[in-house]
Amino acid sequence: MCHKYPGLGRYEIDTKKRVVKRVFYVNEGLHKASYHGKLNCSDCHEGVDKIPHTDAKKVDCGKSCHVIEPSTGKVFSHKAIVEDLKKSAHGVEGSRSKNKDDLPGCRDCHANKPYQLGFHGQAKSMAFLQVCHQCHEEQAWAERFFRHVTYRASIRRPSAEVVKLCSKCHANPGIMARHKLDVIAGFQDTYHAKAIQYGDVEVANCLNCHAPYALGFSPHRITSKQNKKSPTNADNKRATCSQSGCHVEATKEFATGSKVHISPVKAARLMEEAEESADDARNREIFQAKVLHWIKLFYQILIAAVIGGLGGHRLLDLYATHRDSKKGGR
Amino acid sequence: MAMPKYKKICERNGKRYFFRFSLHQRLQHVVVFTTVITLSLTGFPLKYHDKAWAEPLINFMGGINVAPVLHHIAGSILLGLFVYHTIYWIYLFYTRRVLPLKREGRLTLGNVGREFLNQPMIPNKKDFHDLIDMFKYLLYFTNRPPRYERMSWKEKFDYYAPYWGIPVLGPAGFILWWRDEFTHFLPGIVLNALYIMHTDEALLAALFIFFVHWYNVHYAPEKFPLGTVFITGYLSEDDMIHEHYAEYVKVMTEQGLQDEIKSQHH
Repeated sequence: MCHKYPGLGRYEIDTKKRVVKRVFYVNEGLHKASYHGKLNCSDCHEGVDKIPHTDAKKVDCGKSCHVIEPSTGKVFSHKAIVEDLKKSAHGVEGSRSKNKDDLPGCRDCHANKPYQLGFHGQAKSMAFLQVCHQCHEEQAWAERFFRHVTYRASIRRPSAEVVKLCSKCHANPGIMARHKLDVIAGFQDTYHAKAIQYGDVEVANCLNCHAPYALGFSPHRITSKQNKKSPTNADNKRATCSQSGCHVEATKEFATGSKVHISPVKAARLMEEAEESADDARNREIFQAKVLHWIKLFYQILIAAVIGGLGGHRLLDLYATHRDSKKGGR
Repeated sequence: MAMPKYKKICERNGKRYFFRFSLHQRLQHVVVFTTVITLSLTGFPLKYHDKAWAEPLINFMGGINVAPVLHHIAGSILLGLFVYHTIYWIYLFYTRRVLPLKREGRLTLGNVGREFLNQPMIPNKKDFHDLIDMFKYLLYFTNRPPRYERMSWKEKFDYYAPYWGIPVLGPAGFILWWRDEFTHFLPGIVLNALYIMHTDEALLAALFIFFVHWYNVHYAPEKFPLGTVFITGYLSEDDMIHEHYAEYVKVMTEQGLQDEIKSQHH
């Protein structure tokens, strides 16, 4: 009713005393084309009977919708996934962090986007839709159903987008410090990250290792590597690395002996630690960080010495040529 | 191996040219520079992925799915050449130095060692003195530039740079290529170490080749735009006097041209 007018919105002062612009306009066309296009406003936004909506409740993605799930005939709900998330490293129950404030909710990763297929997917679906329409008379329904299936069957988020999404929090030093975690700065230096940057769609992104569907995990069930069942737990890493035809020949040593993405912050911290802790694994980690540091330092000195020395020599040589040419000789 | 005979001095349009490199050696150099340039163009966009030139360059080299394949092919060829070249000089050393000793019945370990150290490519005492003389000359202590023999210290440096670089870069690259398989008998952390070594060693090699070596043969005022000895195998008399005066005098004398030897400053 009111929300179809583009001007609808207001300025508010948020909890951090910043002025934020809130837009309450809903583009009907965009909403209809989105994943939730079939739902009515009140299916998600409960308690909006009064105007203004002083009684509006926060949207709960775990509630039961009025949509019927066709395989069981039961009322559809995201409840199972919401419960999964709660128990995961990102949820209030699963997170080891004392600070539960900035744990991600559904909407931090999911924006109710319109179904968007790539150019080829779009062209294919339009041709194939004609087949659907032979039996399914309701054209809008058939189109929505078809798009749902084709969209879910394809890679929904390109790797670059996954990295960007996880980086929203995991590359934010403030948030990571609050949860006593290291920023994922080291990932940028891996081949995986670089290949993603250059458009490789086969190479592993965050989710392929931390929540591999192929091994029965999901992005909603990400757990710390300390969890025995986690795909990044030392005992499971070999299976994680060798899934989906990636590092098929990899050994346990490949998966656990090497560091997939060394955090420079952590490496610097290890350098400062004494090597006398009682924990052997810890000592080994400190020693390895030191060896890698020495190799880097060795090359910095070698490069500076060789290139600096010979570069200096070439400058003198250039000057000597100039000096001799003035004298008339060579 | 039938070695073609090269004249020590050949004359073209009234100018003298001095023999430096055989066709066989020049072809090895072609393989070295084509593979090294390919390796640099396909490798450095990965090391410097955050630089503006990186993405256009890797796309020019065929993109992320093609460039690594080119890198592996070029690396394999270069490593193969390295092995070939090592066998090549051992063969030359054996036929030209060891066999004559055998024929003369003087085949002792000491004699072979002495012959080995007497090869023109092995660094010797004269290189050390040349280096000091060169600095004296460059820093105004003398007007007499050093008189280099067949191989100057600069050229020896150019030669030993890949002899240090390829044994580090090549196997490191090979292990990183077959990383899964190598962890059957290498600790995993070695991969992290090699990842640093491979790219830093490559940076050293590239800086050396594209600045120092190319200065010697391309950018230097007396060479610009291009020294041609790597194509023709022969060096002009002027360059010979400038770069290898001791060798110049030796060859001219051997060829009975001692009366026509020019002075180092002419």
